[in-house]
Amino acid sequence: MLKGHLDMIVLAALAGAPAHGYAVIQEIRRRSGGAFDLPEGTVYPALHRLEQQGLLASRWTRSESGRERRVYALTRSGRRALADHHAVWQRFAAAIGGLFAETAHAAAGSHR
Amino acid sequence: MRPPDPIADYLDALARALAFDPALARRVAKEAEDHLREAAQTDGGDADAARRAVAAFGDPRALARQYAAAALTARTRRLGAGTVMALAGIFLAMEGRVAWYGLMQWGLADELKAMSAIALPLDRYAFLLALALAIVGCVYIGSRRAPPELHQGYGQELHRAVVLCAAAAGALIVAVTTEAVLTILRLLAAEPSAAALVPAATMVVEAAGAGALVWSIRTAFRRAMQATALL
Repeated sequence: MLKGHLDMIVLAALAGAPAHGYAVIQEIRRRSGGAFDLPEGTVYPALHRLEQQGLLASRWTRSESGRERRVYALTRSGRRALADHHAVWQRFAAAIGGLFAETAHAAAGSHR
Repeated sequence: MRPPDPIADYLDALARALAFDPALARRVAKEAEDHLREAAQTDGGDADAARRAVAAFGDPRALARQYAAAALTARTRRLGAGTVMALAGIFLAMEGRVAWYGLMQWGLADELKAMSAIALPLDRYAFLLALALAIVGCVYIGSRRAPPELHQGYGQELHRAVVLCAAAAGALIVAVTTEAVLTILRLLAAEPSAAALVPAATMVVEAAGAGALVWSIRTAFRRAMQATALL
């Protein structure tokens, strides 16, 4: 299930500030409370794909240790795509919430 | 002998899996190395930490499959656009030569007229066929959306787009060869002059365009084969 939402997750992790792949993974782990523990390499093809779609821009920088690292940032289209994903997700979550609320209500009624 | 380095071994395996796109392989190797060295360093910096970092990164072939879908889609789209551009360039060269013949009032020798009556329709229809196939190929690949990971079905769709470009190139070669034969015969029948340089130059442009297209298609086929070997 997580795989189908990877692009949205990566875009959301980059919403705050530009970051390199390792930091994106740390951010996903931190903000999901450790629930999203992906194979770490999976994030890189997603970053590459999102860049090809014009949703991210990237550039090489040099880390403190002297290694080259690629830093990614949301583009304007990326911010729009993230806002769209967010709206769709909120509608979906509200619909599922309504469904479960009804189910819980019915279950409570049958126990009385 | 080099000391055991799980990260270096992993990067070698990743580069081999990404052999279908050498430029992508170099970029991914740099990014993966930065990630793995930082992860290992954060986790203690010893060989066990390096092994854990590698294990957490995932199977290199599975990663390569995830890169392959988007990379091959982009490459095939470039091939489709390149095929149309090669056709446009060759068309301009053909038209330029015809305009030059008109400007120089360079008529066709009588003995070539019968041959030309057969060759010109062949040339024209072969070119139109090439154009139609290239446009279909471009529209086809333009309408595909790369999946998150390369799979058999999508590999076949990409293959179909490359085959359309190859068929367009085949028809184009027929058109260019016909043009080349007619141009050579026309030049041989005429008195040697500097005016012959323009048709000769346009023929070189056409041959170079067709050759570059064939080379691109060959590369696209080879890379697609390398990528589908990951499945």
